[in-house]
Order: sequence, then structure tokens, then C-alpha cells
Amino acid sequence: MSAAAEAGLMLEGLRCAGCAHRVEEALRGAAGVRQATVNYTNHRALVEFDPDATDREHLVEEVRSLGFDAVPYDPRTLDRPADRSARAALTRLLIAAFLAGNVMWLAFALYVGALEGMESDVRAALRWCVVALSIPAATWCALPFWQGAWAGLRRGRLSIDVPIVIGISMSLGTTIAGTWGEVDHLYVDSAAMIVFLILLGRTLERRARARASSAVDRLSALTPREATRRSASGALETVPVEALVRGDVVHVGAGERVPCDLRVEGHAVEVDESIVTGESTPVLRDVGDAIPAGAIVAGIELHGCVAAPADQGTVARMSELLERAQASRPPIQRLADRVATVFAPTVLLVALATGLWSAFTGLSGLEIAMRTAAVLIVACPCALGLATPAAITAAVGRAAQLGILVKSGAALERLAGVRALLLDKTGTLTEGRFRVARVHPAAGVDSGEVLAWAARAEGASSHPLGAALREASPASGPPLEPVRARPGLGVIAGEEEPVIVGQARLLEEAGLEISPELERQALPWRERGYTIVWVARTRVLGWIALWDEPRADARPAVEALERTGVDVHLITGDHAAAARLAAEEAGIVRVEAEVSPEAKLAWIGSQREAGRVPAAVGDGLNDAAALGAADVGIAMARGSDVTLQAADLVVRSPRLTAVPEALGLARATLRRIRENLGFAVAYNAVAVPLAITGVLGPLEAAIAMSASSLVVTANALRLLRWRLA
Amino acid sequence: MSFLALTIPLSLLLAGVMLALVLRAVREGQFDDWEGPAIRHLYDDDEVPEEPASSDPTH
Repeated sequence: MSAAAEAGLMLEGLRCAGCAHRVEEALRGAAGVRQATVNYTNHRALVEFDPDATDREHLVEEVRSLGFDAVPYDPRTLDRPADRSARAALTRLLIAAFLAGNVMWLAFALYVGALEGMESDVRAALRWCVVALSIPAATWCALPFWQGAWAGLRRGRLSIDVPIVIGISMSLGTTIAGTWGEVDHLYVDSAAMIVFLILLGRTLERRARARASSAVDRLSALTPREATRRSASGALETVPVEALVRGDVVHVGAGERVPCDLRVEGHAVEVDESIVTGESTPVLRDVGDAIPAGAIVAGIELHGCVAAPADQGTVARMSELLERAQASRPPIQRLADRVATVFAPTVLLVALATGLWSAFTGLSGLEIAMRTAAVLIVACPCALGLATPAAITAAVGRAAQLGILVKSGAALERLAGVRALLLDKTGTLTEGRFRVARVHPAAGVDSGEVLAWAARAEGASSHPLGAALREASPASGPPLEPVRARPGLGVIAGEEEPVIVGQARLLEEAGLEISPELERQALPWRERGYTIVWVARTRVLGWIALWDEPRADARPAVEALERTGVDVHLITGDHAAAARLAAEEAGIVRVEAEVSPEAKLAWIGSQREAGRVPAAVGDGLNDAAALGAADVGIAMARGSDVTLQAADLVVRSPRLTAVPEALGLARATLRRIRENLGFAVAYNAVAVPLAITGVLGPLEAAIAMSASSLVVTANALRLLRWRLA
Repeated sequence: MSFLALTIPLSLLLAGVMLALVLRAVREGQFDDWEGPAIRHLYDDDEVPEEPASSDPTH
């Protein structure tokens, strides 16, 4: 079996969640297809298929046979087919508005005429004008409904368009019959108005959906399409981004966006990487460091070597992840999907029953028709179908703005229920970088001197402690040579009078004695969890205490989590003292240190058994197993790695507050979904009986139906503005 | 009765002209981007987000 290929399809002609469900089923059933998901919110299908058994063209054919259209897409050409169909829809809507508007004033004249008296030939003339305007509205303007109904019927399915077109036809039929038969009291305006209102509802809904899913498009829109490449001869040329290959050297001017993932060459630069991290404070990137596409160069021109072609870079992978998440369906949606597919037949049955009951109670033929039409139109499951996908799409988009990549809607749903959080220490609670906390010189030595010698001795070292010492004393002078590293103990550097930096044992080996005074002063620091490094030359110069400091926002993040009822546990393989120190600084009361990876898994299991949904936060490297085992795995990503496999969420920004944000957003999302589902059910429970009893006419039914879809979408869109309280 | 023969076609014609003008604007793509124009002046001239190539001759 060969590797699976993947295709994205832009679907056109989807009218409700039921349609999306049908396309998905058909694609899943097609030969060679391994997995298919259809997102009703952004009208995209993601298909995983066996390239030997089928191809894109066959998939498109499969969709077309259902009466929908599909265009294979890649993000760069995304907006074009959508734009074309948006224009066609707008044209249809405007013509419907023109027809309905004119029908309305004619109907108003007829209404006044009915009260004040009107010559019968004038009444007939006005009514025939209404009929003339209503016919194109009910046919050409309503063409999408007719097509949808027909495409479904051909496949032996009742789509939601069937009740709608029957409702429209019945309204038009009563208008024509009443005009023909010169009936006294006649509603003439419903057919044209219904078409207009439903088209208006769908247009607004389409625009709202476009807003909800635009986060993905925005990502690719933020990367430039052209780049300035330096050729072998040194000349600069402008080339399309697609032409760049690994190893090309490109120049990016100050204030411009980086065209693809680069590795810094020549000199260090400051860049704003908010596109991937959500954090807009510029960060310093040294020679050799990676910069993601879409970052903005600050200050001076950047020279960089292409690290990954545009279609394989960070932004491409992020877009893919986002899209996958928006296409995925949380369990809460499955029920709604099933309901949506059996809805149309149910509505037809209810309408039929309404008609029969009205006839039984002795209503006139026209009244029976009006009542049945109202039932058909009011009972659309659109609100039910939109309830969840609209919320998930908006939430995933909002999370991306906050620097959080959500891999699936199901993960969001699980995250909302999390009550226990396993927090790893190094790289998660902390940045995983040592910093100097205190320098303690021996008598008669300057503390700057201690630091300077230590920094010079560690000048060429890649050890994390070395980096911290260099950072604390950047202008200490040239590195000492040669360096003899003693793994686990320290380094000895320099030719004559070498500098020794490391553990006390290394000093003892060199025959240097540490005064009891210094020893006594260092002891409490060591016991509190700091790492003590001794510095000596011909004599002991002093000691330096270093620690892996918790992130600046660790305390507010932990407080925010505890406030929302989540128990934060710091569980780490690190030493007890170091773990306690970091926990104390971050305000965490539950600490377990020197825990093996297996014990972490056991902890996760015990929390689950206790009914407390566990989540794990880690850096995705040494704790991948825990991230995978927990109900929700959250990875604090470093660099440009966004595809951390084990994690459900990837936090791209260096902020720990992103964790409470993700949790809050997940809870808000679930709340929106519940509200939406509740509203949709309540809407049908109220509106259908009102239509059956004749309280709602066909016109009011059309308004109510469109409004219910809009309410659900608008409620979901509130998530786009969500922020941690 | 005769006034209707004049006023109804006249008002439909008037509204029809307006409709035609709006439809022409739609075809020209004036309604493709509902958010860009509001923020476009905030960009430098050379950074204006390009509208998607919309010169499809069939439309």
C-alpha cells in the first residue's frame, strides 16, 4: 500500500449541514478514499486517499454526481471560485430584492384597498402585477433551492430544499389561484418575500462563515508572494516565493515580512514573530537562528538562507493544522448531524399532517395551503446544523490569534472539562534557560571579576550554564583557550593559571581549598534548589548561584487556572529542591519531583479514575508520552516546530498564560455550542407549533427561519472577540 | 385605471435602472471585499493588499 495522498476541495452549493453530511458520506464511500471530512462552515473538504486507486478528478466527479460542485484548491488560489459564486449569489439576492420590494408596495396598495374599498378592475390589475413579479422570484431567484431539491431527489434523498421549494410553490400557487378566482382576502406577497428573505439569510450567513474561517486564509495572506534573491554573482533579483529552494540566499528589508522560513546569515536581527507566536515584542535572532515565514524584520535588513520552501514551511504546516482542526467534528456535533439528515422527511410529514388537519377542521383551500407552506418553511434545521461548526471554526481562529494551535474540535471539547493539570518544569513552567541569580565573591574579590572569569572560561561552551554565565557578563573579554571539559563537573580553561568553573569537587581535585565561610554561605542557596558553580583561579574567587527561572507570567497563569477550578500539579523528573523553588516562585502548591515518565502516566491514570479529567502541559520533547496519554496534551513549542505529534494543542507563544487562555476559550466555545444547540431546538419547538396553528404565516416563517440561522452564527462569532477575563 | 398603466411601469422602470447600476457594480467586483477598503488607507501605498485577480471575462 502506498502512502496516502491528500486533497483539499472547495465545495460549492452546500446549503445546510445535511448536504455537508451527504458529501462526506459519499466521499468516504468512494473507492480509494481512506478518510474524508467536510466542514460546512468554510465549505471545504479534506480527503485522504490512496493515489493508486483514485485521484483528485475522480473525487471531484463524485461530488458533482451529488449535485454539488467542487474545485481542488491550494491556499493561494483560494478566494477565486468563492468570489465568483459570491458575486452570483449577490446578483440573485439583489434581483430578488427588486422583485420583492415592488411586490411589497403593490401588496400594501391592495391591503389599503381592502380596507378602504377598491374598484375590482384596479384590484385585479395590481394582483396580476404581483403575480408577474412573483413568478421570476419563485423560479429564477429560487433556482439554487430547486437545484438542491432536484439533486437530492435524483439520488433518492430528501434535502432541506424540498420543503422550501414546496413552500414557495404553494405560496405562488395560492397567489395565482386567488387572483384568477378573484378571491376577496388574499395574501399576495409571500412567494417573492420568502425567496428574498431566505436568500438574504444565506448571504449573511455566508459572510459570517467567511469571517469565521478567515484565520487560515489570513495566515497565508500574510506571507509575501515575492522575494529578493541574491544570485551567485551577488546581484539581487525579484522572484516569486515558489521559486525559492533550500539554500537560496534572500534579502528582506527592514519592516518587510519574511517570505519563507529562513536561517539568519551575516548579522543578528530583531524580528517580530507574532504571526506564529501571537507575541509582538521583537525578539533577537542570531546568525544561524531560524525565522518563520511571515515574521516582520525590525531595524536592519535581514540576510537569510532558505530553510524550507514556502509550501513546506511553518506557515504552510500551521495552515494545514488549523484547517484540519476546523474540519474536525467534536462528539457533541454528531447527534446534531444525525438529526439534520432525518429532518427534511419529518418536516414533510408534519406539513402533510397539518394540511390534513386543517382540511378536517374545515378551513378553505387557500388557508390550508398557506398553513402548510408556513410549516414547510419555518422548520429548517439550518440553525441546528450550524450550531457547532460555526463555534468551532470561530474558536480555532481566535486561538490562532492568541498563539495557540488547536488540532481538533474534539480536543477543545475535552479541554473544557479539564480539572487537573500536569505541568512539567523545564521548558514548560520555565523557559529551560539558566540565569544567574546571585554572585558571591570571596573576600577581597569583586563580584564582576568572578562573573567575568567564569564567562571567559565558558566562552566556547555550549553547556546551558555556560550560556547563562556569558549572558550575565557579555563584555568579559575573549574566551580562554584551551578548554578541558569535565562532563558533569565543569571546565578548566586557559594555559597558565587556568580558570576552574564547576563543582566543588573539581576545585578539590586541583588542590584548592574552599573556606568554611564561603561553604556556609553557599549551603542555603543549594538547599533551596539553586545550582551552585564555583569559580577559582590560583585561589577560590567565589560562587555563582544559577537557576532555571519560571516564565515571567507563570504566577498569573497558575492563579488564573486555580481560579477556574483546575488543580495545577508540578510534576517533574527534576530534583526536589529545584522543583520546589520553581513551584514556590510560580505559586504552585502541588509539587512532585524526581518522577519517572512511567509514574507520570500512572498519575494521569489515577486522576482519570478519580473523575478529574487530566491535561498535561509539556515541551513535547521528553514528555511526549504524558502529552499523548492525557485527555488533552498541550505542548509549549520552541522554534518553528508546530507539528508536535503527541499534542492536541500547541502553544506557539512563549507565554504560560496561553494555557488558561486555551482553557477559558474552550469553555466559552462549549458554552456557545450548548447555547446554540439549545436555541436551535427551542426555535423549532416553538416555531413549528405556531406555524401549524396558523399564528405564523409563510412570510413570518421565512423571517423566523433566516433569523434563527443568523442568531446561531452571530453567537458563535462572539468567540472571535473572546479574551481572558 | 389609466393612471395605473402609466405609474406602475414607470416605477418599475425607475427601480430597474437602479438595480442595473448596482448589478454592474457587483460585476465589477465592488462588493468582493467588504472589509479591505475601510482599512486600506492605513497601509503604505506599496503594501495595499492586492485584490484577487477578478478580471474573468465571462463575468
